Amino acid sequence: MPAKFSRDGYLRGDVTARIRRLELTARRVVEGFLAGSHRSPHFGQSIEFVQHRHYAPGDEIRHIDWKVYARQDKLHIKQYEEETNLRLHLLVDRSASMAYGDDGKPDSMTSKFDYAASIAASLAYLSLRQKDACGLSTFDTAVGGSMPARSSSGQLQRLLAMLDATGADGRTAFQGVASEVARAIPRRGLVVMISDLLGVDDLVEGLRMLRGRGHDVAIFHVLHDDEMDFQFDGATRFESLEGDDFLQCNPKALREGYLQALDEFLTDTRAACSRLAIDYTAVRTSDPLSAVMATFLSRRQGLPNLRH
Amino acid sequence: MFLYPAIAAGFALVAVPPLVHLINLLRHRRQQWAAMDFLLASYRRQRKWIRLRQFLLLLTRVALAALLVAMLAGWTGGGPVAKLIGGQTHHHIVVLDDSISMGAIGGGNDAGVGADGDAGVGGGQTTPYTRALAAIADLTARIAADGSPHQLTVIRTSRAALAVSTGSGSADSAADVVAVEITPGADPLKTLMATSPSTLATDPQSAIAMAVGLVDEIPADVTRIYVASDYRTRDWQSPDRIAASMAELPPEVEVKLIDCGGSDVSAANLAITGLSPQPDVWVAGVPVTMRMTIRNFSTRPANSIAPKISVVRYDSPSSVDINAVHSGVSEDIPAAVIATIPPGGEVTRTFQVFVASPGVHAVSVTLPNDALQTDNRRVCTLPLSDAERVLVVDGSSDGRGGLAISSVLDPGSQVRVGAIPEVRPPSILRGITADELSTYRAVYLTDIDTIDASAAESLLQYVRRGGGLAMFIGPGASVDAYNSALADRGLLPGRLNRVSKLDRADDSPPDLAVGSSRSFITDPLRTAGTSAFDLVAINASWSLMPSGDAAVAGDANTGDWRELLVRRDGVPYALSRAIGEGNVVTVLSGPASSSDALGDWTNWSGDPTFVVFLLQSNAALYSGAAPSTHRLVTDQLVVAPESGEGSVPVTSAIYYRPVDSPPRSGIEVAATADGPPSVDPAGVLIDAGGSLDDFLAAGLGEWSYVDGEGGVVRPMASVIDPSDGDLSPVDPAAVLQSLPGVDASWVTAAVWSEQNSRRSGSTLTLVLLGLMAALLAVEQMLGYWASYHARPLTGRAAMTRSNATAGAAA
Repeated sequence: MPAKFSRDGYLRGDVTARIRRLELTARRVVEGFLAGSHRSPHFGQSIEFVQHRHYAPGDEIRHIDWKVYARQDKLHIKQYEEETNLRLHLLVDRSASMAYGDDGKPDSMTSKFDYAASIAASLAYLSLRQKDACGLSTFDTAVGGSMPARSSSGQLQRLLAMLDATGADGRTAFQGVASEVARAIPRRGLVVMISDLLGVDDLVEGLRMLRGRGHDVAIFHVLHDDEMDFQFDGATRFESLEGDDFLQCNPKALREGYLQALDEFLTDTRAACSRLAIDYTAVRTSDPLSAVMATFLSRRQGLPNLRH
Repeated sequence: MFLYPAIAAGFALVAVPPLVHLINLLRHRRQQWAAMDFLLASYRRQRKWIRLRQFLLLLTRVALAALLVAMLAGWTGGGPVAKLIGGQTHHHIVVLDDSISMGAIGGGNDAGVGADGDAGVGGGQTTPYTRALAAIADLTARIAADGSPHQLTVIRTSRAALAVSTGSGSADSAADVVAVEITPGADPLKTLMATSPSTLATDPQSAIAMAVGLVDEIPADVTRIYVASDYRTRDWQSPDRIAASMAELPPEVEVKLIDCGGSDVSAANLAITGLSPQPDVWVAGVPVTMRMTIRNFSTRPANSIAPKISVVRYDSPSSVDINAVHSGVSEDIPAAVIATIPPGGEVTRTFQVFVASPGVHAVSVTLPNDALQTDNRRVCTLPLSDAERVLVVDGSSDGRGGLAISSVLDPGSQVRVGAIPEVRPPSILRGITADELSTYRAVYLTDIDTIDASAAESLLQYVRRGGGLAMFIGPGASVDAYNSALADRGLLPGRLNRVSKLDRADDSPPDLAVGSSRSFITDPLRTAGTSAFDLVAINASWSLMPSGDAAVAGDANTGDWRELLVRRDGVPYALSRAIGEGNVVTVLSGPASSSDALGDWTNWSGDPTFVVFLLQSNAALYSGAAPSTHRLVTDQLVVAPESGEGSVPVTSAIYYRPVDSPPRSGIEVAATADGPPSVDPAGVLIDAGGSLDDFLAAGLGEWSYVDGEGGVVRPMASVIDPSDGDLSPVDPAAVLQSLPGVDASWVTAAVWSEQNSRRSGSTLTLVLLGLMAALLAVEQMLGYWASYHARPLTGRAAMTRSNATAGAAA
């Protein structure tokens, strides 16, 4: 039975206050048609001179301003940067497994979906504040709801309303979702996937498809503390949130094997993301969201620009 | 199989672990779970091992529950299965020493022994007998808990000795239990456990012989003989007989000698070994001298012993007072304190008892309590009669002989001797019968010239029945008649030879002296010394032929002649002898005889020593027919009613056993076909009567019966053989050494109990405890292995967590 989430305030004040000082920087120069703080990789299109700077080893020779060299006998790079807007697309997993952690209390924010929605809201706020476009898609076996990326002023409220109306349900078939999302995003951009990746079929294929379209992909892998530690005791009947499977067992007897399987999954996922140059972030629902976001953004600022 | 079978029902608890397991399956918690794939993967990977661990864990817990119940129920191994597959049969034969010494109180209290002379009660109530019973109980408990078939036989030494005394060597009649099957919960020794040491001083030889016989009679795979005794020196002083019995044992039979004597190796013990009235006329109104003997069995001297003496007067009670320990009137009389008795020594003291009324009375002497109390009290009866007639046949021409005797026996005035002399001429002897003579308590013949064979035969019969005969042979005696009528019948110490003259001499010892033979007749004269006879003059007396002694045909009780008095020249002057139940005293001179040739033979009748001699002789003559003053507890218990003209035979009587405290109950005893009511304790044993202990009880009992004059109550003194008071223990090594070829081992009662308890419970309990500890360890290990116990994260699992956390924190 899918859990239904109806939460206000996925955009938490403490989070927005902190991330306001931060700058969301795409790891790569993405295509954009709105001026922004993101460099466009397309030289020769909508080029505006911005400044000269000293040549540094590694700079391309073709960007040297030979006229300045002739006058000053110094090598300067002529920068023709064009500001583009970031096309951020949030993919939030709304499968039933994301409902884990919901204890049914009205003010509780402990489920994985709550946590994922908070991440999405935070990222959306940041991008929209930077005049970047932000879109949202929720998915399980298919894309449940989709909102094209826009940078309009009402976009944030629409995004939040969509998250608020979204409940966790069903399994996850990611390859179809990725294909659908890829088609819906006309230009390359930053695709941030927030999911527990549990029961996600064809994850690697889906991620490869997104990367194949040139999207910068980041993953927030959200897991609950229970899932990470498996500290259960006593005879327990585990009933699957995404199916009819159940298992009646002594949890302690299975703990070691469970953690081992989880470890293998995390390792495989991390390796796959690494192979696909995907920014992978594992998150526990007990981790402070502000710290998670700060870490994520800081890391992205430090990442080298990679080109396809 | 189990010491506490009721607890064995707790084996149902083995169902608890499976039930808990099932209940836990039903009481599981429901948990919605997202990462089901990992859980299922873990389950699929470990399913077999998990089930195996859980099964082993469940099995371990079931085994733990079973072990716990087995321990609590006192499981001792074996079981019905062992029987079904033919477990070994065991026969345990226990020889239980229940002699008197087995009642010695442990602790070795020196009652009456030591410088202070205090006499107290023994420190503890534990006796060798209680230790022996405990040893048997331990054995029974152990074999009852064993699963194999066990049979038990218990033979008490007193019962075995009684059975053997009747000529019956059958263990069926002597044993308390014979080859009884010992099973858990059964209590075949309940009656035995309520018994106490017997009053018999028996050694275990008869019981051991019986036990050896049972080995062959009752076949068993394993036969063991246990001898539970205090191993006193007296009982085991001749182990050769016991060794001879045990030599017949098969070599595989194991013999356990269980020493129940405790540590009181030389416990102080005084015993009254004798109490009886001295031989005398025992006539009411005449003081009776009592003689008591006390022996010190200790290794230290006993000082300041103050025996308590009581006279119990039976002034013709007609019925038994069951609410008192006896029906008489008890009166204590003062007794002198005995200063000291050396170790192993014996002291005899006399005291006088005066009872004015005729009848059977009783005298009791009690010593202070010591280690063995059974021998601290002794009683005897005191049968007192009225003065009885005495026949004095005087053949002297001047009547001086009869006068000399009758004046001593009936001095007149207030002096009572207890005899009423009737002086008759010799003609009374013609045709007299023994029955006619039996109306007289004693017969005196003085200066009889001749006697025919008929009279001599009657006299012989009279003496055999307990009559007393005294003869003063005067100068006119016919040698042929005396020799043929009296000497040939053993009534004379020899054939008369001739008159032997004693020459007078100055500065010579007295003419008469006490003879070499000890006799109570001459004891007073011996005490007075030779000077007592200074004034006695002997001129002549009869001498005897050297080989003149004649046996009394057909009478085994005939004793040797005792030389009471001898002349200065060594010629016997007065002699005595027991014939049958009576006594004969012969003086080879008349009391006041004279002859023409020699004049007066003696002036002895005028000397005080003659009075003493005659009174002592009269007492001896009386004592022949005196009734017994006590019986050994093993002797026949018989009613001795007054006999006489007009007496009615007693057809039945009631016996009241000696008791320490009332009330009393009587046992009816019927008259036998040829005599008064009587009981033979051995016969009671053979007849499997339940009242054997009543007839073996020592102390003052009573007969109650009806004769021609109405109800009669007569005391009956039952005494023990006091020789069992010697409590010195035997050397175990000596006993074992005396049993060559026998698989015998020595063990003390304490060690035996410890061994049994260890065998019955401790060893197996220790094994069970060890097994339980091992199972607990296995359970913990399995519990840990099955992840029922918390443990820290390790390996990749821990890394997984830290990676994830690190990723989040980074």
